[in-house]
Amino acid sequence: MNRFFQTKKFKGLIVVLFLLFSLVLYTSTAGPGAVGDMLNSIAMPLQKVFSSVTGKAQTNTATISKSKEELQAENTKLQQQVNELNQKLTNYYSAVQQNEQYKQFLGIKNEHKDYQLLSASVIERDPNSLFSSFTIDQGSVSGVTKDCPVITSAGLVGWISEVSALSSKVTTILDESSQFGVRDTANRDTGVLDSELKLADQGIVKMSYLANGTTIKKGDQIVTSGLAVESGFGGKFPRGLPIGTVSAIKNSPYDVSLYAEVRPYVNPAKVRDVMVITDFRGKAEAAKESSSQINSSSSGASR
Amino acid sequence: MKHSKFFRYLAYTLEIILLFVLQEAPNVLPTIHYTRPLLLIPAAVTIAMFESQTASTVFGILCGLLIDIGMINGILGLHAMILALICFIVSYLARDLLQTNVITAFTICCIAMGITVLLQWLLNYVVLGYADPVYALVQHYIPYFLYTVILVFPIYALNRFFVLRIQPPL
Repeated sequence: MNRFFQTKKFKGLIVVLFLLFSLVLYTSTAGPGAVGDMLNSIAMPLQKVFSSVTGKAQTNTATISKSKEELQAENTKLQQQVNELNQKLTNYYSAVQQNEQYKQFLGIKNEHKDYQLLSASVIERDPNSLFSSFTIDQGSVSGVTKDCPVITSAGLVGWISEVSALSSKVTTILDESSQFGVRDTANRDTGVLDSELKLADQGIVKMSYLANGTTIKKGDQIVTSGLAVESGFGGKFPRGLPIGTVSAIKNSPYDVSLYAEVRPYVNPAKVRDVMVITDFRGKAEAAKESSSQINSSSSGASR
Repeated sequence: MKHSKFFRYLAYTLEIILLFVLQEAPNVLPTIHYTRPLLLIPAAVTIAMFESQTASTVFGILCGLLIDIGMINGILGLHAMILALICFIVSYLARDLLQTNVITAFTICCIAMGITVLLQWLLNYVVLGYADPVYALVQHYIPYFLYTVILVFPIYALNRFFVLRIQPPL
């Protein structure tokens, strides 16, 4: 055994482990940085191609299986024609989907003229993530920055948590680390939107710290308040982004306050196409507000 | 001799890339009880059972780095370090002490995946102070572990096929 510890291979392993440990220490303190960016840039085109291929393959399989019995009765010439038509149909579905995306894009753009929107597709889902985090095919080259809100036409999905040149990682509102200001559109009561795993598994988030006499009721619509709360994320979202509807009001197990269970309009686990708000009116001020909140809270932060 | 080794390593590399893409692509592998499998751990461990320590460590690092870059808010290099160490030990043991068969592959994969899952649970959940860590372990991490180790059988078969088919001529 002693001889084994003196072998070149063992010494090599120690050197490799030391290098990897240095990488772990570096990335855990300074973030993925250039190394992560480089590795992401290598892996991203592969994922993008595969993601689009599997998408098309699913459409093709669906269309072909519909007319399988008819196709069996057809001769070679007709089969060829059917295949050509199927190909056209696939392109048609793709165009319809794209058109739908642009319509939604236009709808949001008309409603909020100050939003700079960027369309993106989900290219990767992290199997290690408990909160449905995903990766999109737009990165810093397209103007995406950290903390940009990610939405669909229905409402808020999450925010950008890591950016590389060609792709970005999105943390969803189901994530337990999310904490931002929200308000009820009916009575303007405010609270903090957060989450926990048990609720996230049911696709629900929490609107916490409601006063005892709150008038929030089931069915009310919840939107972002735009205020920075503790973590600072609140200030990075524009005001009025729809989140979901109240499904129940419950007592907090930890104190005398109440919390509302909110069912989001968008299920982050199933979303395929999203939009990134790269800029909106007041973003710079909000970022300043958030950073000052972070600075003041970091001195007495509990986490 | 050298050619067969080169082609076998090429086959492993292509296998790893394919498994990485399958593992990360949305809507390809079905989600069972909130989880999807981590295919690269069985791949790295079963390759290590057939190859030299150096090659095993390199493939372990490759698989680990791919897992790390796929993770959101993960620590780059953590899985690479774990798999480098595990693959080196597995390769060393497989030379003299272990029988290279599917039962051994399954057992070693359970140990490797067990270590990985426990570390993930500790570092990505418990240390961050998230609520109800026992619920997370039982409802998420254990199903994730089981889903992954079940897939060791086809992955072992594939790597065994590479070893048997891509060999130097006698």
